[in-house]
Amino acid sequence: MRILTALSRRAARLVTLALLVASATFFLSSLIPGDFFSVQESDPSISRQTVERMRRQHGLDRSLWVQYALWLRSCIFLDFGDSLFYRRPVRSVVLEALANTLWMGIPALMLGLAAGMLLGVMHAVYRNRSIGLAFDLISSAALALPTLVLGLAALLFAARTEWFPLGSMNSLSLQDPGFLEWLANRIHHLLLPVGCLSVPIIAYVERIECAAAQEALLQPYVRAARARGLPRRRILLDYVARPALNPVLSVSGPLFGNVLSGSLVLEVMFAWPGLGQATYDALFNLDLPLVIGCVVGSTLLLVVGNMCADALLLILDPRTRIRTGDAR
Amino acid sequence: MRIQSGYLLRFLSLCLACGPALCAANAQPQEAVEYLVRSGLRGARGGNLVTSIPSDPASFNRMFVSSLANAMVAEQLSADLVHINRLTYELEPSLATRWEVAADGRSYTIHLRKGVRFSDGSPFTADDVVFTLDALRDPKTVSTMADQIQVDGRFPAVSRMDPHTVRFAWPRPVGTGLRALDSIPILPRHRLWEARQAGNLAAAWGPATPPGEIAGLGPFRLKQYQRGTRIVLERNPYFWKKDTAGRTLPYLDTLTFLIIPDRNAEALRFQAGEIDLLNTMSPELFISLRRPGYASQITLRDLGPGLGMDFLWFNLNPGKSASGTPFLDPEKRAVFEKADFRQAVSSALDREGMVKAILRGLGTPQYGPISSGNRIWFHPGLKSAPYDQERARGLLARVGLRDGNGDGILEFAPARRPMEIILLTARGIPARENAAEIIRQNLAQVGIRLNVQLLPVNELVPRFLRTFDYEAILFGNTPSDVVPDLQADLWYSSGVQHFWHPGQAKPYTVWEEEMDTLTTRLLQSLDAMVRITAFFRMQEIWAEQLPAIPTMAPNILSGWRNNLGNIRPSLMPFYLLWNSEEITKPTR
Repeated sequence: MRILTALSRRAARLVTLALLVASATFFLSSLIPGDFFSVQESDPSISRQTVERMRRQHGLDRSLWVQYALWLRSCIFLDFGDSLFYRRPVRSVVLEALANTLWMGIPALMLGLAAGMLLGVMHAVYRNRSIGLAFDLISSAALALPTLVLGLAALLFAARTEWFPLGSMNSLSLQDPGFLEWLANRIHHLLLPVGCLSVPIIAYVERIECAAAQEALLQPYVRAARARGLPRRRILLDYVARPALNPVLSVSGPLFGNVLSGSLVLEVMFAWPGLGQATYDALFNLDLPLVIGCVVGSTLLLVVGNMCADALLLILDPRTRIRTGDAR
Repeated sequence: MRIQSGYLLRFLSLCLACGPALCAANAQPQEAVEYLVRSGLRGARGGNLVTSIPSDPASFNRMFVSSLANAMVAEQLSADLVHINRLTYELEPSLATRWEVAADGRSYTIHLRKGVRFSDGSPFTADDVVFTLDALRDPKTVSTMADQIQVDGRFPAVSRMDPHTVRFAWPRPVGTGLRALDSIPILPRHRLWEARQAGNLAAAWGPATPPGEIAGLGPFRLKQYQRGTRIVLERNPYFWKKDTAGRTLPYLDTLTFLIIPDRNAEALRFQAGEIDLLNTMSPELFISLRRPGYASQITLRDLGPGLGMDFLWFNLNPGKSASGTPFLDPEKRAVFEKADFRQAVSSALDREGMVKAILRGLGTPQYGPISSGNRIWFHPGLKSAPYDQERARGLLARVGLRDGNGDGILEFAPARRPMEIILLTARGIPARENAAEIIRQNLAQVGIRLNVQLLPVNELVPRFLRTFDYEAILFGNTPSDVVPDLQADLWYSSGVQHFWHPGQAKPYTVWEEEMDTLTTRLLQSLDAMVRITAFFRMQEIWAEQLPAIPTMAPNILSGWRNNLGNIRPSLMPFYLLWNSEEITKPTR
């Protein structure tokens, strides 16, 4: 019950945050001179009257406050208006894109957390050997490597070897596939972008896990376990890796942010129609309703990510529950 | 048994007697299709052609497209009454078989192709043409195509003469004739009537519309759309073009557009053989594909300068802002207003160097108001101002610009202020950003200090169309057709797109007055010779006065796989796909 109360409070706080972020985006966007139709205005074959009619049709001729009031009223019904570029409700564009981003983001996050934790513990155990130095170097390089370079290298690799498809969500040759064939094809298309997206996450988690595991290795209970002659694997899993989970879980929520920023570049490169690509299109075309929709979508994704991480922490670490109770 | 046989015999006799009569009563009269026969084609039917576009379409209705890529897709689904041949630039019959112009030069009687059906099998008639034009005229329908057919802000009156004849009447003679009807899609009245009545025609054929609800007269019809991934079009079984062997077009079974936003990824997929053709490509990719290894797989073609080109212009607007402040420092404007100053700047520009450095030599220096790629209307005898710094210095001295203090910067006005100019250009277009930098270096060599500022396009455009808060701008212009008539707003001194000094109540200069007269002649004359003479003179005036200084036009670079047939590249959009119905691709 305490967990539920804590989570519902956080949910309310985070929804308010999403609304504030969206409002801030609305007003900040309005500061940008020009609008979606400015480019058409520079075309000598399109009259100014036509451009003005287009502006009127989309309510862009109204004052900013009226536009905001109308937008806010629609938001209550989760209606974020129509995308100027796609001429579709922003909600449907964002939801579709969000689902595609999750296809890429969740496996990348899972892979990043699992591989990062495993490598982090190994790094802590072998920290004074050459393998530890190699871990240090590789994780530093992986953190420093821009996603753009990583994506381009992956595409070149795919083009040379022909082992992986060069983007898109499924193969052109796939006609009326069965579910398993479709899934296999989708996973094949996911391998490279998920790999690229998870590299910085693995490196980040590995560093955190390594520091936490190093601390855990020095704890008296680990020495006691060794003294009791417990098997090494059990010591590492139960006495080192598990207590070191806490800091990793704490950052796993914000890591959703990394997933989103990484997907912004990778989705464009791999022709993956997710939130990153929609945001890119929206910003490129100055499609403000879609920009706001994408920001709200990203904020909600972050919110949900953080809530999941909080819930896991509350479940796995009883100390956090006590602290939540105290704070209350 | 005998009785049963007797009934059967009587029933069969009745059928034989009444059958033909009943059938004749139920069957709809099937008109023979008046096919448009294309000659000079070779190939067999079949194959799936794969190409790419950078973004999703907003609409499958050509009337409401949001980008050139969107237009390329929608164009495959629709057909126009008359069409500009993208190779000869001549107007050709399309859904119209022929037309006659009345003696007044305003009215056209257009005869429609008989027996033609939409991709859903419904017949095409004059009612569809009237419906389309009415829809375009409807204030609730906001389409940029509406401007294409208006003359002096008025639409043509369109009337139905009979099921296969329509009449268009413009308010005055139109020099371009029916050219304005190119690409205007004839919409199926039976499908879109309700949407138009409800005022949501623009949304009717959006991305979420099931393919079966979209019916057009183009060579293909929509088969499948996956957002962000691909659009698959299939052959329209009712298409109305044939080759001389009697095979109905298109040859291709399917035409697939992959949605690939990243140009690097697009290039890799072209190299890997996933994409069959690239309408346009960057100079870097073009050069990398020129390596011998690709020759056996890919055909590359440099089509020469495209219709789009860049201009550098100075703010010549003498007006004032709402607060009473002049848009531009009057002393500086006095310098800009002198043709010698603009000629000096033009002579100081190393256009050849720009083309080499920025476009890897795959561009063409420009000296007139339209690209030299427009071989129909470009004035071949136009005087160009070659790169000549000495001439530039001489002209600047004539304007009164001198370096009094020896700091390398020329000074102007009685107060001898240094000639520093802020040049605005669009951010995110590398070729233009680099061109601005080269212009800065070129002008520095003749004593003009240029400070380059990069702005997003959406911020830049209002500067020269609304606020006039700028000194100089480098920007591009890409006409949609070779005829100059569509850019009347640019030529007329009263035009809002007369960039350097828009919306003049009366011509500010003598040469602008002459340009106005010539523009009227160009727009209204039906005599081709009068029209071309007028426009040649307009180009000469432009080259003398240089209200906007042309810089360079990138060449159109295309590539396709060697197994494709009947590819006829054009400088006009859609470059390689304008004759998609004629393209062949072997199935093996």
